[in-house]
Amino acid sequence: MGEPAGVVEHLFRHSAGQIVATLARTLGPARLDLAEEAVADALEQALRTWPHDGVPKNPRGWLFRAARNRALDVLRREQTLRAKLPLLAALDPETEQRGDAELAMILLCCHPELPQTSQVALTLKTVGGLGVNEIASALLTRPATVAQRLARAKRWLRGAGPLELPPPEQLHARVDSVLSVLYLLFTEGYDATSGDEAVRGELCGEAIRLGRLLLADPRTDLPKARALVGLLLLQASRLPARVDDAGDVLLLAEQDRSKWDRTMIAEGTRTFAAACTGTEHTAYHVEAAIALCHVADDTDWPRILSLYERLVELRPSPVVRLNRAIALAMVHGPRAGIIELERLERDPRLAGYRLLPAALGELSLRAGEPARAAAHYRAALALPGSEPQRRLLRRRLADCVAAGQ
Amino acid sequence: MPRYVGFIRNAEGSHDGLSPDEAQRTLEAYLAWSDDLEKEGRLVISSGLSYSQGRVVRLTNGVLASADGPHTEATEVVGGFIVIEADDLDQAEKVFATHPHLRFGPIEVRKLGENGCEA
Repeated sequence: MGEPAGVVEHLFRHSAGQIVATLARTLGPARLDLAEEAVADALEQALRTWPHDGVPKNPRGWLFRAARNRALDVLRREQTLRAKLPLLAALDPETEQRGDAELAMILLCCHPELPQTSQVALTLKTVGGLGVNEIASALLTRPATVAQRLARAKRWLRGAGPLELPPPEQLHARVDSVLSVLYLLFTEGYDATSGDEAVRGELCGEAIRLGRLLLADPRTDLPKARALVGLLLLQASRLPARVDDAGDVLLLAEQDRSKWDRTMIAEGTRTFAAACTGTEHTAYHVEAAIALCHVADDTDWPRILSLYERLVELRPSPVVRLNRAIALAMVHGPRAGIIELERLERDPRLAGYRLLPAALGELSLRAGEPARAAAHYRAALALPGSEPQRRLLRRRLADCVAAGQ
Repeated sequence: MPRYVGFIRNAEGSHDGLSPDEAQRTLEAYLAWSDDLEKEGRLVISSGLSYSQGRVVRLTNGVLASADGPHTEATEVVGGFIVIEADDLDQAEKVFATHPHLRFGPIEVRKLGENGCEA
């Protein structure tokens, strides 16, 4: 086992400086970063192995070899890169405009081995062309956090192999993770959870553009991908009507339907129809079918309710149940919805979810109980939300107070 | 006496930006911990685990695939393990609770199977 502690006094400090200097002398001072990285890596290796295997007989020599090997690894990788010089020079802008590389890049960015938060950040940065600050404000995190996630994800990318579409047997699962990233991206744009804007249209647009890339390649043009793109188009078609001139959120019933984007509705409807050719029926299919009901001239609430029943089976999340309760209220009256929502109030996953008290407020008002409705709206206002969302809640609260007088 | 293994897990980036002096002090604390345990006669075996020489073999829908791994980008990676002797899980927990590694990441303590049973 190890020698007694402290036997190599100041070993790390003295050796680290020496090794960095030696490597930098050989590599040139321009590569001081490489020398430092190699030494930091060697120290980390020592920390991981010496406590168990003991301090080696020649610890300085050990550290030096570990650091040198690390530097060699990095340089070998760069050499491989240098071998690509002729290929790089031969790239022709005319023939390289197709989406193949971009598609492979999205699939790589959404690799299931990366945490989903990193998948989103990496996709936005690499394929979406967003800067660190923009990503941070889109994902409501600090720029430093985004930078850190990106740095780690890029380290992971180094070992990720060539930028090609995954083999067919892995393709389905990889498309799944791309779809969930696009869904997340769109949702964040559609219903911004904080900030001064109710809708971040550029995020929605980017999600649709990336979704179209999937459909443009026969290998990833899967029914579930079509269903999601159809869903996003149908939802996005209503975006122009979703806020009024003052930037306030408008409810579906209040929206000026002439502002809906008819071209987008047509494309969404076509894309969704093309999604329904196979036997596969995913949650995206059901959601697209619901979105289609919402853009119809007369809203068929019984159909929406039965679709939500199906969606609860496919994706039994409390948020889906909340939406189902609202459809239930539209079909069977506000009280039926309130009973369902009150059940959901006990679900800890919805604690702090603004739309639950907001929906309870809406249904209580419709049930002729403005005082209870006002209490729910006050509870909703106590939770975080974007400024336009808060204005909508205050407007509804004022309605309740007026109705109670 | 029953044996317990402590999996030393490194939280992501936990050793980033450690100065050589800090690394040295950390190493000394780790060594001293192992040393004390050995003097008590509790230390059975311990080892670090390589990050670069590792592969994950997986059978997915009947297709054998292997990938370099584990990926150090995962939230936590096992960087080593220590097997000790202790009377019971509570005592093993107390022993590992003094390990200087806890500054950098958790230690997962598990009893080694005795004849494969949970006793």
